[in-house]
Amino acid sequence: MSPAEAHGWQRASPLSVLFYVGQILRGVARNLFQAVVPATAVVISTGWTTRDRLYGLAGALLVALILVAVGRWLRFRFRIDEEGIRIRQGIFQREELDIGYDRIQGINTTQNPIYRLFGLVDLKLDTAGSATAEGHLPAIPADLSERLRGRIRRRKDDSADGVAGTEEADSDEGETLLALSPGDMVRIGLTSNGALILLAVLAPLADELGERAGPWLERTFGPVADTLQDLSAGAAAFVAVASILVAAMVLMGISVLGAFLRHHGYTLGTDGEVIRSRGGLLTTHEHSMGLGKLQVLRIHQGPLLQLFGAFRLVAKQAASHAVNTGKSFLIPLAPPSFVERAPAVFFDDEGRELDLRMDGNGFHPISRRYVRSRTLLFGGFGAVAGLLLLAINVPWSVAAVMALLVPTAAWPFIRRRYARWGLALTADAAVVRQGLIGSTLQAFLLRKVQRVDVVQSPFQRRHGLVTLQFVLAAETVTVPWIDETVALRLCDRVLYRVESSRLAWL
Amino acid sequence: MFENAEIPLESLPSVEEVSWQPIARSYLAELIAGHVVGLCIALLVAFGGTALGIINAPGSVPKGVALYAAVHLLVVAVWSPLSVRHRGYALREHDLLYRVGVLRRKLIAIPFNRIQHVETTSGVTERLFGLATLVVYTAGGSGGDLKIRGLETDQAHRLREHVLRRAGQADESG
Repeated sequence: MSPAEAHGWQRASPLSVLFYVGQILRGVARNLFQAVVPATAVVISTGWTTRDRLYGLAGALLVALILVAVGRWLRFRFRIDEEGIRIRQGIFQREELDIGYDRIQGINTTQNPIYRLFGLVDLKLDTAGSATAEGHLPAIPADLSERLRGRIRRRKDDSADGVAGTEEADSDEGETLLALSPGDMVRIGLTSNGALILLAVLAPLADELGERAGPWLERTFGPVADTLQDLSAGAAAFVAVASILVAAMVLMGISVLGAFLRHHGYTLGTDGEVIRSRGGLLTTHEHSMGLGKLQVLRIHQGPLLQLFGAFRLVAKQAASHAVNTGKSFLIPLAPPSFVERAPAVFFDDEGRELDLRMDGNGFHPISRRYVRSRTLLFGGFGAVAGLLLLAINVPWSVAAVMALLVPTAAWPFIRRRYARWGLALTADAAVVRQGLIGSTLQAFLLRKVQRVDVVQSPFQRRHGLVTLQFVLAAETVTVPWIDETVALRLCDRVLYRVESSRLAWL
Repeated sequence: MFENAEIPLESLPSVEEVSWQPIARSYLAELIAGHVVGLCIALLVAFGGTALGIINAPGSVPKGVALYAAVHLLVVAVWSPLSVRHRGYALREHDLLYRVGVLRRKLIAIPFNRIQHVETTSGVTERLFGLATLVVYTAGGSGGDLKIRGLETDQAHRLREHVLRRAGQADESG
């Protein structure tokens, strides 16, 4: 036993070599050019025959890959002690990470089918300091990750009661809040933006695909096309609409499949301190987050979700502003009954009286001047468009109609947005509603605010209005166009809440 | 014993009632000096370059540059005093306030117990005028949450020390 191991330093499972192989391949793919050119140069300079060269190249790459992966595994050590998790890693450049328990906001584990066979998990830690997951333990025993969760929870209890915790892991998962059915998976697939993203990714490739597939389609569907030409315009339109629908359905299908893969068997539970979700078809994803680390709770309902009478919730943690993917705790689909319980679940006592229903009656509207100001703004856009049209010799009547059309077309949307804006307050928390097609709520505890901005444009000043911004560690919550005196009172109140709070915000 | 008495909203200290500290007068000079230096360089290039034959431009170009410089300077001369007058900061027991903006006005409030770190910076022209900028960071904003330009150097350092001390005290009690 090496001295390091004697002090509680552990290695990850040898299976983590698989993970490292994947990591290296991903890295190589990213820097393909840089990695391939020197290797090819070496092979060519040794003067082998073409066939040997290829085999040699492939062999050398494979050996290098395995050597590096094994090397990374050998050099990776971690230790879990009283203060936190320590990680030592890196072959040439040694890296030492010490992550204190109090800095850990969330624990994410994934378990693919191979890992499941051996009772292993891949564990990532969320901390506030980094844009991506900071601590990463590839392939560690599942019970170890369980103990780690226990550690994080127990430490909280320690600081609350001043009683030292015991060593064994408490597998107490607490209360189950939510369990999603296969039907819910379909709903998640249909309402997620995944299908749209896929479309956006495929769109640039469409031309290329079209060029290649064109001749083939011609041969195969040529006769069909001939028949189509004979059809009436109405039928042709029908065919066009039908093919768009088919494409949309294929995308939806992929999205639903994605939802099954990611969330199948989704359950959500809490023990009052930590909220925890688990789901996934092949690879199980498990995510837990300390509820004390929550900064902003977002509740979203788009038109489709509204049709299903469901909501999507995102609990946002503190993150550096660069990229905060993976820093938020996602609840992909939740019924209204869950949303009603959400204040108590996420904000505990401080969430009392907080109403997170979209049509809750506690929302104070913003000023009606918002509509006028925005319509004027779009009127300005219209005027510019009209002038541009005049400049390219379009008849003035057409230009005038265009200039008027812009604000007229924008007006219903502005009106809708105005109607959706709203702010509701309780003694400890606030919730802001906004949206155009759907609705989004942002709920937060007043004491977690980092900074308050009161902004006033000249137009707003004339009417005694301001825009209020609450800057939190996860995101900024904006309340536009509210009465100046009300906003300043609110600013005072939030500052008072923050400054008199003796609780940690992180 | 923990107490949590209800505080009537009217009795809360208000951000409206603070007495704003103006920033240093010399910031106005620095502001204008910065523009003047830039414009002088532009004029030097336009006239000098043409005179030496480096730039082969029609005679109207240097004149155009001169006209632009005059207009720019006029705008700066009118705008800068307004801009300086509308800036101000206030140090309260528990937070730091800053207001800025002539047309689009902004009031920024940062509680001491949310401050991550504080620094003072001073650029070349700032040093020339004995000025410094105070930058305050919280966990919320990206980059500096609050930049107070145009503080006298020792004033900026005192302010930084004070804010640091207050932030530290706030952390200990929190």
